[in-house]
Amino acid sequence: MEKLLKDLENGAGVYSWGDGILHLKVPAGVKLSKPVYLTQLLGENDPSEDKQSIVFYLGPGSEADVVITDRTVADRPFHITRQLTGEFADDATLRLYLLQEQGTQTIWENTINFNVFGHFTLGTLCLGGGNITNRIQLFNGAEGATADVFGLNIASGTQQVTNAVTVTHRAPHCRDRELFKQILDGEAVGRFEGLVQVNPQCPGADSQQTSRNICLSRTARAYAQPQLIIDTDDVRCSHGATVGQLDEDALFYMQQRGIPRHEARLLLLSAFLNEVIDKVTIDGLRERLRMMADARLRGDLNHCVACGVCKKD
Amino acid sequence: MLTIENLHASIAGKEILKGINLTVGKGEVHAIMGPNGSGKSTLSNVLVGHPAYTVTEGSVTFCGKDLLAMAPEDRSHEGIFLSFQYPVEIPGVSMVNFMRTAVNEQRAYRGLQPLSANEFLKLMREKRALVGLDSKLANRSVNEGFSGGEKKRNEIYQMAMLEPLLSILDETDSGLDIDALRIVAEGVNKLHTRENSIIVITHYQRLLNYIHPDVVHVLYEGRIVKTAGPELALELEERGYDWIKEG
Repeated sequence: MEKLLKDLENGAGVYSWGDGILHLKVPAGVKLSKPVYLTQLLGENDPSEDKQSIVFYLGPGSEADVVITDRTVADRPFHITRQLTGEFADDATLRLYLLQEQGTQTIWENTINFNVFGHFTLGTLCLGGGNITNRIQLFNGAEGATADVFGLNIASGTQQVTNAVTVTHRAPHCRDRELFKQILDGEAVGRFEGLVQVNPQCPGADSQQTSRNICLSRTARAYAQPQLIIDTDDVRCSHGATVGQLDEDALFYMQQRGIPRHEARLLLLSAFLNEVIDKVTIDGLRERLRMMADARLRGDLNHCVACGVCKKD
Repeated sequence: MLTIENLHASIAGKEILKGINLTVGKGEVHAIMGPNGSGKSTLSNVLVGHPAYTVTEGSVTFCGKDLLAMAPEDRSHEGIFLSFQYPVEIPGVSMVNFMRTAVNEQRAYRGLQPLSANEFLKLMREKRALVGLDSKLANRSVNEGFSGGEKKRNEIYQMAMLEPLLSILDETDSGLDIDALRIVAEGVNKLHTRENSIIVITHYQRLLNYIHPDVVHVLYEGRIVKTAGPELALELEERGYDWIKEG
């Protein structure tokens, strides 16, 4: 914390938090040595409807990790819409993680909009919520700009989660990656809507969209729609999508070695998510995420293991 | 140790095993040979409780217990091990995590405390050395990207870790060159004691040059049609299976 305060004294700063707008500034050349954690707990007395906005100012060559956690701690409806946007200067690097740990009565809409002139990493990590939509629109605006977007979603009951990602290449030699993995149970619905557009005169675009889904019940639904619009020659763009169940042969193999079927299922499901979790570069967050995903998969649906706020039943 | 009586089993409504009788005593090595489609793999799958197979008649007793009433994982805990003909690749699940879970589940079943991380790694190292498994393989995902020989060696390594009472080696020789075959067989021989038993399922006699059976059975059309000493394997190698089919 002290180090962070020192960083802030060096020029990084939270400007203001009024009218539902949070301004976060990282001046030119400043590299934050520790992640900034923003946590919102929505309790009994908070408004059930809210519009929020977070505006980033990333100076040239700046670098920051930001972790935003939104958690409901009251069992009642919320409807939150939030905009995340800002100015993204040349060679700036932002790694942004959105941790969604919400109750089943929460409707949450994130709109994430950036002109990327440096390197942007975004992880949407959905461990709970009623109806979550992450609408992500990125423009790779400078030569060599990169956008790395990934997400995981563990949903059950009647949860609905949508990740809609549009990346537009407006400059040559830009790169983007989308990797989304979902585990859906009950009547949950998970959607990945991806669109990568390479504008004219943008050679060397390097793009890959991947959507992998496991449906644990016959009533769960996974929709994957990766799309490409390419108006330049000399690009490398690929996409892939799979929807499947757990590998029965692998389950039986593990059972033969003495691992009970439910444990074998958990091992396979954790393994499935690991590729996404491993993309988180903050060690503590990665471990916590693994723990939370594990607890979620074990059926501890509305509680996370590391949380002291809500009491376990 | 193992008593199979009048075992009938089918897959997808088709009867494959048509009355198997077999007794394996403590410390014995039995070879089961037979032409393609005779039911060798079905027998091994039925013994470990593969869900695709249905037992329609008969009984299997293992160390005094009704084996067929047990879940696959409990059969493993009781001491039955199958070296798979086609070991399964499990991307993303590390060998360490897989083996630690397996060993500790077995210990829990037997009322023992789980091994500490250090104890477990020590055990892994020890067994790895015993069967000559490359340490690099032990750090990878289960069987992922392993060659045919490495997969079979990994099966024997798992056998060493779990110390079963009865090991069923289902065509462990398939897909192995002569050197790999020898190494795998040596691993099996190191693990064989007077306390544990082995069933070797194979088409060919060559594996039996390395793993010496006490008894050789011939399985044909779902029944054991001939049982004799190790000399039977040599005779089969020389004369093929036709004389048995005709007889």
